[in-house]
Amino acid sequence: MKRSQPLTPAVFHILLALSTEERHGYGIMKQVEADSQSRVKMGAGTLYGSLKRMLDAGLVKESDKRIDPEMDDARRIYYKITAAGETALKEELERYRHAVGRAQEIKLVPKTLSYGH
Amino acid sequence: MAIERHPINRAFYRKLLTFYPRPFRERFGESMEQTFDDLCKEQEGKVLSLTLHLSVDTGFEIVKEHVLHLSQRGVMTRILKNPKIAAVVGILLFLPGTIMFSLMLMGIEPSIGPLQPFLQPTDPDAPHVLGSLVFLSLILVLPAAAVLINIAATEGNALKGVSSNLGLASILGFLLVLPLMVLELTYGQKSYSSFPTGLFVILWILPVLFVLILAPVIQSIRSGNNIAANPVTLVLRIAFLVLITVFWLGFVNDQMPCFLGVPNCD
Repeated sequence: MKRSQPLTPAVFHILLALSTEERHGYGIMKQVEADSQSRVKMGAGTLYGSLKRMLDAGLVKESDKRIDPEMDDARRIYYKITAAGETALKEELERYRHAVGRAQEIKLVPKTLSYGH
Repeated sequence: MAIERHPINRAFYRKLLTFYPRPFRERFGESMEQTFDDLCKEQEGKVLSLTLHLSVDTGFEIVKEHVLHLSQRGVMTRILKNPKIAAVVGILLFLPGTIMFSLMLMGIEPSIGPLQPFLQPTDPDAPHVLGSLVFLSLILVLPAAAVLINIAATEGNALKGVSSNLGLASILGFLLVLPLMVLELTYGQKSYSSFPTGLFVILWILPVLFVLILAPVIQSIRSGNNIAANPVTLVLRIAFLVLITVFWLGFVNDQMPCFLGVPNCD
């Protein structure tokens, strides 16, 4: 099976944010911020530019337009990860695992950081 | 609500969104405005800095979307892959410059509207140095842009590289021109009736193109790729880098006396 190209940081973080549940744009931004411990703060331009390219690539799809009960009464478009998106995310995580494994081989990082331990 | 408290910021951001390509704007404009409102509500005390941050981010994305929009429509790709159309486009790109140089060589001074101050000096005996350089640069810039798009179209990911390097290239170009602008503002006004904006735009665009063409080569070297894998692209890049360098240095060398306020310079 052909492996996908490495993902950009923005696409990786969006896929990671959508891997647990459907989210709207603002929800994705907040989840990315939380996942990255506030190290990644995505602007609206970057977010929607990435979402457009991901929609075109079939990595995510629009779910529906509905009200977020935790916010105001405005209806928001929700996005969800597709099977292709899940595959791309898994492959990216696998690349990270390989990179960490290699770093451990050459003793750049301690074994305690090993993936899955 | 934040929307009502910050109408100017919201109006500004809404206006900024109108610069996106129409398909993008129609698809995501409403959501982006909504997200902007959500962020304003969240960062109530820092709406100005938030607006600035989002505007810079959105500004870069607008440029990127326009480049991608052109590429995805396949207009440039189709044009540049068809030899006949490419030849016609090439002629059209060179035509204005060719006509102007022919007229200059024949000693005919055409009606050139807004470019008149550059091309027709008040002193009839003065050489058309600046005018010649402006047109040489236009002749250089347009094909360089075409080559960039062509390279992007043929190398796939290069397009992403161009758009991601654009911000850096713009800043580096500006930093290169800044000292000259300071010189011009400090000394040069003695010899110019008004600030030569067009000249500085060209002095800025040339290094921007330089960085955009050079950056992929550096990135390839850093990532350990063979830069000679595509010799035609490499030769094209080097040729344009040399040309841009020669023209930029020629411009600066020619205009330096004016930047320094030497009387009667052109």
